[in-house]
Amino acid sequence: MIETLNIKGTEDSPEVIMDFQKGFIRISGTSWLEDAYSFYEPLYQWVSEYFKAPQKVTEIEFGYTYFNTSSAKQIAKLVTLISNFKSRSEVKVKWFYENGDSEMLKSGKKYSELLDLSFEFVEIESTSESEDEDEGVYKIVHK
Amino acid sequence: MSSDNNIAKRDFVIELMKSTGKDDLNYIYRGEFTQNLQQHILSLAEKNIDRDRISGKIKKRIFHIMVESIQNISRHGDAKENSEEMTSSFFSIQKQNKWYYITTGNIIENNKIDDLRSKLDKINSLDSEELDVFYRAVLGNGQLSNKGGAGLGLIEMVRKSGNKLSYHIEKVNDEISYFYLHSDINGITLGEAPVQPLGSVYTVDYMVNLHRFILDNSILLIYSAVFDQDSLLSLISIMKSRMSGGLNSKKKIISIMVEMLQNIIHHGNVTVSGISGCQGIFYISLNNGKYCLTTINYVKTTDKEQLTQKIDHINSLSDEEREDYYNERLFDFDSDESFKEGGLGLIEIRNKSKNPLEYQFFDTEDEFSLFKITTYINI
Repeated sequence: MIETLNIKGTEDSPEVIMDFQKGFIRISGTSWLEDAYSFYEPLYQWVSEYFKAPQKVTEIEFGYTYFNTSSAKQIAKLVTLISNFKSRSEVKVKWFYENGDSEMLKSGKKYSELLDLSFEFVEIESTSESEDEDEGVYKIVHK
Repeated sequence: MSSDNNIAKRDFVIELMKSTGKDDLNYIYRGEFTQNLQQHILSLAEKNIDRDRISGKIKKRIFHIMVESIQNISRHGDAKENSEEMTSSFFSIQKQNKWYYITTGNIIENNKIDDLRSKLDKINSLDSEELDVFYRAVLGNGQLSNKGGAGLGLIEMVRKSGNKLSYHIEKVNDEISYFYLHSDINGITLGEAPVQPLGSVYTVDYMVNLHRFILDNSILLIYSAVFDQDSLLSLISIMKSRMSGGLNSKKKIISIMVEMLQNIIHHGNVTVSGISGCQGIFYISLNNGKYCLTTINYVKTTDKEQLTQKIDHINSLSDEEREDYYNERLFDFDSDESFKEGGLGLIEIRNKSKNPLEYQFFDTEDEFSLFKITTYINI
């Protein structure tokens, strides 16, 4: 069985939870990594491993407040991988975006369309611009 | 001030970039000074100085003077809330050859000038022992004004720097003037070969000119130094607190900043005159609701043509073509050291700004050129 991944978020790297037992994956916060490849490579490995014997249902949540272009590419790679394995598990993807952040919504739609993987889009209350200290806090307010 | 000292007449930032050596720093922030902003502004300077090879004791002194200086702006600044004058205040730090220069500028009411001048002249006339005596006297005297200052901060600045304060007062109109305060700090420890600050350009006169230049050009911030992810994060924090406007436009500017600064970090690491590092300059201005972001960094002259082609190509594409071009590169996983590949970043900057990328090269004496790129963002 593969171990649960639990990576704390920082000012420029996202929080990651990848839980095999629950069939749950969540990446959230800010991804401004200089070297996004090195950060995302283990996530990519985990997901590859997971889909060898996945749970019946796999819930995946993306909750980015910001990501840079080098992260965008790694996210593309990860979503491509997930899309390739979607026949093996019932994959449910949620894409969270801050209230009014049309760019982030657009990015999610782009990944969803280009990879033919349906996303549920969930608007959440803005956390990143309130007072910059609590950057990356992941508070979901279902609408 | 001689007329050839008029920095606004040259391409000032290119000059600044060329004159800022690898270990140097040229950092100017103009605008509001809320508590939150003060913290972020100081943090950027501290991160930069922390890496310097000077004694910890001197670093502490420099930080102390920075704090006093920045507090002076809010303590003694007489600009009315939300007035245009309020955003004319500035904090700046320069360093060169292990000398540090901290300057602030703020509005002062003309009727307070005499008092301030006599306070400063008194402090400057004392030697270090007399200064200690005077410090204790002022402290005991307790004649603190409601803004908390009886000159204690000023005395502290002289005590910590070991050098007299320079200042300049320039009349704005019948009611107010600009007050410039300038400290020099020697970063060289006793026993090290002394380097005289002789010939340093960073005098109070220079700063008065610089202030004029940033006001004329609506510049909010200039940062000329070696760039890394840490300084990027500090710059972002400053701009996040500094900008007003809706979430979308703020996010757009922040995202563009990240791409521009990471371009310096990824591509600007060159060895010039035997010293390597991602040396660059970033500045941002706000004029009539239009933000203008510029970075300058060194590139190999041999890479000039390729970079030119890349940007010209991006500029030549229609919105739709550019979208396709972006997506194509986004899903190209073959070149996976691709975090160093600048293509996506430039397209993103172009997409988000909705304006063509402006760029220029400037030749230098060796095999490097200066690459300047500017982005305009309407909000």
